[in-house]
Amino acid sequence: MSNVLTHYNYLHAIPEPGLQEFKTAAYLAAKLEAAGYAVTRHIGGATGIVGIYDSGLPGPVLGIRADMDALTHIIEGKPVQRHTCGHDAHCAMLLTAAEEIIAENSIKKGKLKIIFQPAEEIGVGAKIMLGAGVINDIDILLGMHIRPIQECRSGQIIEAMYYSSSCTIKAVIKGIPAHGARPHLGINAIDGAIAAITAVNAIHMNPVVACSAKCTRFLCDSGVTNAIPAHAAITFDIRAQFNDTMKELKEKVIRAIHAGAATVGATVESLETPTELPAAELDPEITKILGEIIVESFGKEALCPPFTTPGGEDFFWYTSKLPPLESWIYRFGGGCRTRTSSS
Amino acid sequence: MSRVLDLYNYLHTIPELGMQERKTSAFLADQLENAGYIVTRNINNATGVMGIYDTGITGPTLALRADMDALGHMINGSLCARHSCGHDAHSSMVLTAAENLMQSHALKKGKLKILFQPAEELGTGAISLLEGGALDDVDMVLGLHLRPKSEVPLGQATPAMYHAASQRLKAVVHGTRAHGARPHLGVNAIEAASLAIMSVATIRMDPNISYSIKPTQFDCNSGVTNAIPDEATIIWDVRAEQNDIMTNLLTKAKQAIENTSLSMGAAADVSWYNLVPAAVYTDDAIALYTEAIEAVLGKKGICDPGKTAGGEDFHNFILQKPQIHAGYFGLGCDLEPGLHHPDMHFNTTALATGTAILEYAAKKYLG
Repeated sequence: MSNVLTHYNYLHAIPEPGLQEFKTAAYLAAKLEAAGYAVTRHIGGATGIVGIYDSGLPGPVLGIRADMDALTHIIEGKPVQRHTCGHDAHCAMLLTAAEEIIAENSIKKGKLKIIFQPAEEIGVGAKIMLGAGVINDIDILLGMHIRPIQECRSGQIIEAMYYSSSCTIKAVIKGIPAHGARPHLGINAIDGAIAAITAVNAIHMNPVVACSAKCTRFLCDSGVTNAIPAHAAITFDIRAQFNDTMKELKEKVIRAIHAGAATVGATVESLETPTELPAAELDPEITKILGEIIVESFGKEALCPPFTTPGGEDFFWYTSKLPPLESWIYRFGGGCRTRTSSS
Repeated sequence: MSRVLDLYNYLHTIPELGMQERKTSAFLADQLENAGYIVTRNINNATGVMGIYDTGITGPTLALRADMDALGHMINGSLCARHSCGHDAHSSMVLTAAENLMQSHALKKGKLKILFQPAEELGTGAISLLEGGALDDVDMVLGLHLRPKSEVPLGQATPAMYHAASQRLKAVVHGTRAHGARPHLGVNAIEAASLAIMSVATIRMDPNISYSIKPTQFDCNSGVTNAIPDEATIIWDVRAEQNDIMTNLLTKAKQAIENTSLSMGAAADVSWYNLVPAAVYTDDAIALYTEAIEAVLGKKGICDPGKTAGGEDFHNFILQKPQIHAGYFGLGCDLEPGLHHPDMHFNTTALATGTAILEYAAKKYLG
């Protein structure tokens, strides 16, 4: 009998917000240890867990990652944590697989690394794990996510989920204040910001690759309406299907903001990217292998083709940081997203 | 010490914000009554004061107007009222002239009205006097203002200060909300507003007449940055040397904003408020002030008429009652560092000069 429902029911009852997954991490670490893994807790000073099983024989290192954090909802006026993104399900599935692999003595070579990361929802969990060097020796990394009914029905599995890259750029445009009657003595930050937005709207990208850059917030209030304002804060929401498209678009947006502001003599006082998520980079060979496994285990009917979503997933910080290797054995990346089956 | 300086020194110590000039107006009303004027207080239920002296002999009605309110400044983190626009000087000069005119029995015909108006800085004081009927029978109204040293030096005065019209233009641009990943399903209010601002910036008026239209506030915050926002509010500061230029400019701006919004599938609500009209003076009033300045300061004391993009709510009198003849002189007093600066100061010997110019003009008109 599988432990997966027991684990799930327990984890579902103790939802914790990102970086505060204390009970969840303690439970997962204890179970991993009991199963025979060498466990490291508090990865990077946070709540992340890594369990290693070393076969002692030469071979590749496989990493499998699940996320632990719940979401915070405002329910009846109070902040409440709930596992509304299914991270409890991911943890339960990975923990059960980890237990069963050891119990069945199925690892014959290389190393298996079980990774439970914190704070996927706030976009910092993967970065903390990366910073602690967790994936430095990993050759293949696998992740998963349960999917909504519109994308994939119960009993079906998508062999590869292509998440998009997204990024927020916040720029503060700086001008020179002046009285409203003496506009020539100042530099209007609104004019600079408008020129920046216009320049961003004039960016051309390859039309066959999905991407967009839109100004989504504009704040300029000097406190009075009869003076030339000196500061305006503009925020852009930027999305791209691929990381290289994002890199090109981001560079063009930053250049447009600077150059746009400069057209009226304004400057960019600060420019920051408060949120940033890379796009999925998946290895086609691994996707093929995962497809074969799905067909083998659940039949041809269960297999769904790769799916692209404009949503983001901090898992792809891992793949974006993995060094490209030449040998086919050391292929990296890979992602299987399954919908849980109650069977 | 002269009377005008005493009055000034007292008023300077009791600065009060617009529509709250209670001590100031009570003091001025008492002094006018003592001087022999028939005084009406709390005009239009506000703090305005009117003193009337009727000679009983047929003739025109002249009004001398001064403003009473101080400005609010944030000083060391707290709000305080200061007379940084010189309204204390204006009130003390008009009151002294009113007293002297009575004492010297200089008025031979018609009526003299002394008007102390509230809230010039708020742009609502002149309208309050108009609504209270204080201007109903007035044939000529005369005003005055201290000028910065850079415009008019001490020892000179200008017989006409041409203030520009100013107004606020407001547009609320309505788009359609969408997720940041699906911009094609929405209409971005920021993009429509940006087009509107650029379109407004290309409005051309006769370059020989000064005007300007500048966005001074932009507010668009849907609460998140990963969604296409559906509402943006923009405010422009609009100025024009002449009232018809202001009207044309606003009409063109409305057309530009509405049509650029439409071009994107957005809609715009355009409105304007806080009108301060441009100066419109009559030749007889300018001639009267020119003669008065020459009489007090000599020919070299006459400065050319001044132009300023600043506003003055005095001009609501003429906008609402175009039959009234109006004049307005600017007094040189080595004022520094500038009007509305919290540390504004000037040479107070100019107070006697300003008083004499007002007296001369009133005597000439009603003598």
